[in-house]
Amino acid sequence: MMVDTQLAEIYDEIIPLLIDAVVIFIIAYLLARVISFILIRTSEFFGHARIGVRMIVPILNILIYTVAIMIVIQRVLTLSTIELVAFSGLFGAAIGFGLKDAFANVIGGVIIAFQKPFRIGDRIKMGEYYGEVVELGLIDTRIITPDDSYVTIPNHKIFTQSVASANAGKTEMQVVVDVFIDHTADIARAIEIFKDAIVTSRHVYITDACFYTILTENKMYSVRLRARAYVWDLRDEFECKAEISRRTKTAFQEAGIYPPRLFSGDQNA
Amino acid sequence: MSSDETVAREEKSHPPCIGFHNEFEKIQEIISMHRSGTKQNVAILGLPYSGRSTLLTTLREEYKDSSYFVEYGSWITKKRKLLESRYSQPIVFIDGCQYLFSRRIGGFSVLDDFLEEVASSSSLFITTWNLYAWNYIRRVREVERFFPKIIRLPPLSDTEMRQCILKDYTEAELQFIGDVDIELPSLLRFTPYPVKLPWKSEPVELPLPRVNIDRVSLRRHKKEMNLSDEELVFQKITKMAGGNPGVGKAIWKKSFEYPTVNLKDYTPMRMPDPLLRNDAFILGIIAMTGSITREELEEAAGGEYPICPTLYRLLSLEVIMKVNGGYQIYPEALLLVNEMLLKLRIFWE
Repeated sequence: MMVDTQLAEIYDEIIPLLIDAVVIFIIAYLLARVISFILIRTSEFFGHARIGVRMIVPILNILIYTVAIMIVIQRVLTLSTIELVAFSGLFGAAIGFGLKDAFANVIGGVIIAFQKPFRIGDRIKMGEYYGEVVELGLIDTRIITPDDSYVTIPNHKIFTQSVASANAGKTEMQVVVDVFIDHTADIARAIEIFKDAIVTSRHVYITDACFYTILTENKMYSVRLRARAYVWDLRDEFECKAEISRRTKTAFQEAGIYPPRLFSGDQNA
Repeated sequence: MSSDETVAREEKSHPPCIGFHNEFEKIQEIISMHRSGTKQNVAILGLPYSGRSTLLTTLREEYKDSSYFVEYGSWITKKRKLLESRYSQPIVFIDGCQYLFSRRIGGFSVLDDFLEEVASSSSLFITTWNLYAWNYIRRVREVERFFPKIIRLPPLSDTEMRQCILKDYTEAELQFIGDVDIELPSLLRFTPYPVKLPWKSEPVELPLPRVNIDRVSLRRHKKEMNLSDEELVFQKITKMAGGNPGVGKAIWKKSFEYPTVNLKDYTPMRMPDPLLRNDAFILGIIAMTGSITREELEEAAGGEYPICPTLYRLLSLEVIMKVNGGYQIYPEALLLVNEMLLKLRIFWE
């Protein structure tokens, strides 16, 4: 008789609640995916403002999942004070023993979403990885590296590792291009050509905030010309560097500005 | 005095330059100041087809005896000094200064020479520049330091657009089919207002809200459905052209079959697919110069990629056209190009 009552309770109360919880989480998941998909696709039409649009995605995801969890808790748990204390104790123990990393990931995800150390679309360097952030989840962050690897980084890493964002939420980012010339070369002419190569690049963008500079440094066997300029879309970072280098080299050759000579070991001695 | 006499007198004192009377007067004032010893070179800026040359030609007519006029229509490749005889004139008008440089390595030497001459000359230089080229070159060569007076051509109003288009027709026998939707004009419009900040060298342009007083009556008319077909047609043309006279005339030509003007069937240009980066860059170069040859475009591409597919695509989309061996933007495509290339940051601000 007792067993029948327990079974009836399971059928009448617990299973519908579980089904409700599952349905709510599936709806939340689908909603989050659909909204993320639409926003990320739509953001491409906003040109240089795309990162601003994409910033909304992680915040919306957190909101959707938070609302889903609250609805489930409201439907499943009607706790008295004692039960709440007991539940909190159990929850704390679970986090302490088993779910520590998962919970740290979630907290990391919330911090990333609201404090914005980087955003979707940023070029970041975290640990040994460098690439464009393509997804910010509650648990992990996904980046695509220049060699097209899809890297998943747990969100709790932001507590232990420094993160460098090359563009900090903007579409433009600074690129550094180095060229080396021989000590005997006409440096003034070389700088003139290098400047022209930068300002005529199809990738470079110059404003009051995004300006370019050229630095020279004498090395042992060469003179290094280093340009810092802004590429107007961070996705063109490598193409921009390559294009400026190629065009500069060609122009240097035409102007008789040669690369550093090779020195043999004997000469050094 | 009869009204005809008044109009005739006004026309004599202010030669016809539809829509740019304020700019004309500003330049007249600058010329008077130059005569009293204060030299401030002028840069007149405007989009392609915005009427820069028209304004400069009108000024030239006004100061024919004391000025020298130079017009550039294609890229100036050789370093050449302006003749001393030009300097003997107190005013030098130069139209199309965007042709003094090219966006390629070594493409700024002629401009550098020109700026040096502007700096050392006692003549007053009144120049016109393509706005896109100006925005580019001021980042590269700080040209605004040589031309402290900057005059931006404003968009034409509906009435000015009407005057501008109909001045070519002697008899008003035209029939207008204005079956077009006209949106109620906004009561507020924003105009750029330069503000000088102590910590910045160049003035910052803030959008200054202004009440569209002219349009208040139009709103009332619209509500009362009193707009004539003619008014509707010119209002729509002005809106579609963004107040650009050249674009307005092109839209007019496309919808005009004597004696009927039918805007009903005119469809504004659309771009089916987003432009590739290389295509957008070449399109930007074409828009920046006004007219440019294939060889010059190849030099701008720097041998990095073939421009043949780009030109083919832009020609087939009817965004550009080939006129006298040079490539130009179709006037009707100008606003679309402007919007696209600003978004892609090919045009700098």
